[in-house]
Amino acid sequence: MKRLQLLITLLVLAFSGSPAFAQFTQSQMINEWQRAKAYTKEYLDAMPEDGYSFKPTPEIRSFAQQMLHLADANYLFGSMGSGKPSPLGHTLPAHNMLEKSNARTKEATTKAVMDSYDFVINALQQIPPDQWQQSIKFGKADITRAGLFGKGFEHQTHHRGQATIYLRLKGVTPPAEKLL
Amino acid sequence: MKKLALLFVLTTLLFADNAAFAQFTQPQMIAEWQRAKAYTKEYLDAMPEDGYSFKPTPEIRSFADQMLHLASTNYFFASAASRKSNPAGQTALEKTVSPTKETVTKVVMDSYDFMIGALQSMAPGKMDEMAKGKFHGVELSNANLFGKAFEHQTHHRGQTTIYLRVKGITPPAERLF
Repeated sequence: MKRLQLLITLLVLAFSGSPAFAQFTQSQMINEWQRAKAYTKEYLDAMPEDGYSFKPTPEIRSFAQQMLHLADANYLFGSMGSGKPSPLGHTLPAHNMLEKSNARTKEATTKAVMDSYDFVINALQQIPPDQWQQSIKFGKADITRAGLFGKGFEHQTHHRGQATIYLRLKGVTPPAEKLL
Repeated sequence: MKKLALLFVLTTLLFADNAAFAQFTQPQMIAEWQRAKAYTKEYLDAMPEDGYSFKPTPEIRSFADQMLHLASTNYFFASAASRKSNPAGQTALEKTVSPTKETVTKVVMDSYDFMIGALQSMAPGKMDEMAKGKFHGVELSNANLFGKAFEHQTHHRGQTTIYLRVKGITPPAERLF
């Protein structure tokens, strides 16, 4: 039995110490989202108040709406990924409440967006490791909890990226790309 | 010994299948990059030839330059993570590639193929090894490099959404899945 116990210990250490094939581990993902929050904050700071209502073309989202859409999606992915309800009631069929109803001033937008990152970071921290790879439904798609946080990360990168050109068109030099 | 062997198999299955804490497993990452390639292709297709030289403001990259920068960076990260030599070399593709729709499309698609090939070639144990050197002072695993590269192409493709809008084109629908 002693040999068995030793073997179990060794195997557990071997596999749990080296999370096989991880793009980012859970703790790395928390760091990634903290960086993403700080990076998006630089964008929110860089745009002057009068640019929050700016749209490069009339049919698309204003800068404030892009950022509030990003915040809505953060709540959606964070709540569906973790199973923790959004305090604002985001669900897949209804998740654009901030874009629709939040005040679009620089101050109110900044607060709503920062709060959405805090929700995601907190949700990530609370997922028990054994639920991390649990498969869940996102609409028709089957995805793991961890994978859904990856999709959420891509989503905010995509919309922040768009906002880069809003800044340029307003004559503002955007924040330097912050990959690290 | 039979009991030991059985235990070994069970434990291995349990942990290897579980890939504890992985955001995306290696096969999932390959699928993510294949989707990213198809999504970027939709952008390359959507912009007409005369839009490839378009810049929303004079001091920034043209549409072609954004896409070539994305391609150069795909090569850089894939080569750093896989230790495969970089077929694009050290010079930025923005500086060497003819900015026509046909050429840019080919170069960008090739960069995704190199990325996907690099990912497929990684022995599972290599993914979590640290990459050589530091990246702006930060040490990263090979797997992390693939993740940073993914963010990079998302960021630059995202910027070009507004290039399309300003040129009067409805961009491809967001394709997260």
